[in-house]
Amino acid sequence: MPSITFGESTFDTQDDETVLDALLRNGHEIANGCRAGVCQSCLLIAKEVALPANATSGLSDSQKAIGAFKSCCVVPSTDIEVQSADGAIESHKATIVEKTSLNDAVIRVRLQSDVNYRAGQYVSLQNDAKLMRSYSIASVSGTDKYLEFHIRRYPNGQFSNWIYSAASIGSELILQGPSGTCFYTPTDAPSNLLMLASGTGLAPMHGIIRDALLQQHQGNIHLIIAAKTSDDFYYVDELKTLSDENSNFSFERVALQSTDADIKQADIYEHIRSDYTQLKGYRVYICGGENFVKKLKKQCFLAGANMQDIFSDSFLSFTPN
Amino acid sequence: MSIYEQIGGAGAVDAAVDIFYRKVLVDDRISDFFDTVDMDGQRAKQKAFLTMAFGGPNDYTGKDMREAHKGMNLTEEHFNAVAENLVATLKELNVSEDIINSIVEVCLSVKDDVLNV
Repeated sequence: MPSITFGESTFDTQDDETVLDALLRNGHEIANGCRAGVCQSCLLIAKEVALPANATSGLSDSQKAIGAFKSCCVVPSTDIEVQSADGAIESHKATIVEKTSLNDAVIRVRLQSDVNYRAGQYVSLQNDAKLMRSYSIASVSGTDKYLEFHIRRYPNGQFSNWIYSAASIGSELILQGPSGTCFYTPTDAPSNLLMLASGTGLAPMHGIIRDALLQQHQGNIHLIIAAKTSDDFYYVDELKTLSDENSNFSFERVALQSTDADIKQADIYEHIRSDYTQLKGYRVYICGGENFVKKLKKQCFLAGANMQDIFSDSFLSFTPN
Repeated sequence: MSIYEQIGGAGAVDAAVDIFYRKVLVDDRISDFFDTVDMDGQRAKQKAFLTMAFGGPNDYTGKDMREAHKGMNLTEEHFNAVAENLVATLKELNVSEDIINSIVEVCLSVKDDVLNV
């Protein structure tokens, strides 16, 4: 009988049992619902194995790209290695090679590391003092020779203050990951992309946009960055260059308080609600704070975007236990 | 041929779920119940519900239905709202009257469990 490897344990399957049944029989707690390939509760990630089409039907393209499958739909015919849908926790060494201030509150940190990732995914960074935080990757794999992060400094943020003050070029970190399904996958037919970012949500978004352009995305890519005041924006020159070089890319900035004619003064939710009423067929990417993501995900869905065409990542603020 | 097969199986559930979810999200009578942070999780639950309603393969029992809706203080009005949104979804997908009636019957068969009466 073929074997299943899940984390540290490996065991043989019995008769015609599915991956889900085999894991449950061996005492692993795997969420599940319909057990008929519909509800997607039992998603796992398979390593290097061809999956039958019915095991991935209904999943988003990015879920398929990382090997996600419905474990109730697969009866293994060969040995298979699977992991939980949160992704593999692989550790890599990383070294700080650059620190640059982007504005009053955000610093750009570039690391040297051999991790493989997709632009838009996130990793956890851990320093010598075992402080660990998750950050989205802002660079593009294969094109940029470094990993880039945009780190906001919080007054009481232990990790961000360490990065700002104590960390220096050459400091070493442990990097875990990558995780996440908020990344670009090529589309069969040209489709328009709507990219919504607030704060350092621009980090993954900038990576995803560059990745899409490098993969010659057909269709328009429009980015909207939201902030409280006009001083909060960064990377504006980089974005202007990108839009000068690519006719299908455009961007706008929206702030609650604006003193700059180039920046629209508006509430982001009102702006999207009134100007983006028809999103049928769009792919939507949303990155930023939890509330920002939650509200806009709902708004874009109600405006016609399919759920499986909405990709998002919410930044959770770290709360000490 | 079962109703589930007649309307297109899992593909029909995929076609219906987003339309149905949009309808319940804007229905003031019930939107609070469906307006969760985890839209993906909520959508998965709805797919399971639609599969059951369409007579597809599912593990639902009356007890599950009862447990899932316990303590929510649901009333006849809430139940009817969900049923109306489901019927409207099916009409939008050009499902025949006969089939819609059969699906409504499935929903009515779990009504007491849903309302915990």
